[in-house]
Amino acid sequence: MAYLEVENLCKRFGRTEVLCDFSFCMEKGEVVSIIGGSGNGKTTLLRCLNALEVPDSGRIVLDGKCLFDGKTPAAKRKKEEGETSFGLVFQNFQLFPQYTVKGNLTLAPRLALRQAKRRFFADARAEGKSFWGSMAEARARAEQEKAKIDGEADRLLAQVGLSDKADCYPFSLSGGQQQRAAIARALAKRPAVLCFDEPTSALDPALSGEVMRVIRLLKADGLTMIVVTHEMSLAAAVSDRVFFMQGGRVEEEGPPERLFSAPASEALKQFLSGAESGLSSSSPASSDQP
Amino acid sequence: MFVTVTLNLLQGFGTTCLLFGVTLLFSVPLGALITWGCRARFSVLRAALRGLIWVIRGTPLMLQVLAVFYGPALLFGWKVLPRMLAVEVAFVINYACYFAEIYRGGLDSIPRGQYEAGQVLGMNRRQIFFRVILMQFVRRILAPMSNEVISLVKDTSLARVIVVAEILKNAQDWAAKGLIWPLFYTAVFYLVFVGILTLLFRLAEKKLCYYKI
Repeated sequence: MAYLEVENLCKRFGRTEVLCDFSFCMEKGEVVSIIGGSGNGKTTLLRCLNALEVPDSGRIVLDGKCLFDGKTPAAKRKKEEGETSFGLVFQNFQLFPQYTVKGNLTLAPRLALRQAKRRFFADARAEGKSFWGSMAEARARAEQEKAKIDGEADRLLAQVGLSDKADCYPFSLSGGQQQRAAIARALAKRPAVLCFDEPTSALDPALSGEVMRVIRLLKADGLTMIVVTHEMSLAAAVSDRVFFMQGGRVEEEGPPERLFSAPASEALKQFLSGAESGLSSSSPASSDQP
Repeated sequence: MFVTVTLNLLQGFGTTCLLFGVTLLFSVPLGALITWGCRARFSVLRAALRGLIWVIRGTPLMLQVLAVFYGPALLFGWKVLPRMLAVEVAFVINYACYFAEIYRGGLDSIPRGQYEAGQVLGMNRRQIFFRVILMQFVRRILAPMSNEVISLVKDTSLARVIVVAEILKNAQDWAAKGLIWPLFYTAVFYLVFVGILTLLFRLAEKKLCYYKI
């Protein structure tokens, strides 16, 4: 049984069927890229996985646990999963502008901690401690956890190479730095599967190189990732398998080497040649090469 | 003479300030309530509030003051409200509607991605609103709010249509007695008041603009 199984996912907006009978599996530690033209359901798939959209039907099973079986409402899903299923990195970062980089990382964990504090208190009460004693213990445990959250944030910032920017506000960062901060923020939630929604499409080649390096680093750490992208170089560089999506379903899949060098389906051939001609027309230097 | 006039105008200015303060105090939260109602799932409520905003923005404030003061008595034969209270009610409703529109614009201008970013990080709706949206919202509405608040300072002069003794009414009384200059002298009071407000808003903006959007 695969780590993540998506079965027959369907999603329509009005009359448009964005995902139809979409199925795929992936193993733990695997990195999967999803490519395809705009409007073929790539982003909708990520939004469904992250409970930003409710699929009309289908199943999502993560690590043997069914997260969605066609009728789970989104709110209920969030509550049950806690914080350990999916993370999402947005195309345009969506950092919170009023918090520092580190504040962005620690905000959600700290809010979760505030709620956990009540649980700590209840635990202490259950152990037979007095009211004030339980209060003190809950506070002490929360302090401990807070230190842990801070330490974790520092570690993540070091991992994405932003230790020196911890106290800066997002507006003062370059696009690449903002996206790396956004990745660190998503990781602070310790997601089992981290999803990227076109993580480099708002960045120039140099900056997207930074982000690509971070994704490779995470891959080396064994993180399971799904990368939706328009950039073939990104897909080729980071993924174990590539899915080509067309009309809301997987048209073709395979390891990137094979898929890019010997596409089987006509749609993929067309898509890749389109991507190539787009590339050569935008950068004349590379048009000399065959 | 100058001292007598100044004292008399100051008395009127006190009423002006009271009217300003009370209106602001109640219309800011009432506006928020209207905005919230306009986003409710209950479509009748939404339509009713849209209608209210249309009527309030579509008629002169002076007419609304008259309507609140005379309306109940004319329609139902009730006792008239105290003058000051009638003015307050009209002003609060009027400004709440304008504020509601400003709030709506502010909320709509915050990208959906900010809510979604909060959602995927596991925050609940309340946390997203208070921790992520509110600060950005306040910053975005500050400039249009300062506009409205400054308008309010001068709109208080409309209270004189039902003989509330605010500063301009007092000055007009002097003018009726043949003394014209107090009428123009009132400008000084308004200008000082608005000057202070302008400084306060600038300070608030500076405090909130430690980051760019």
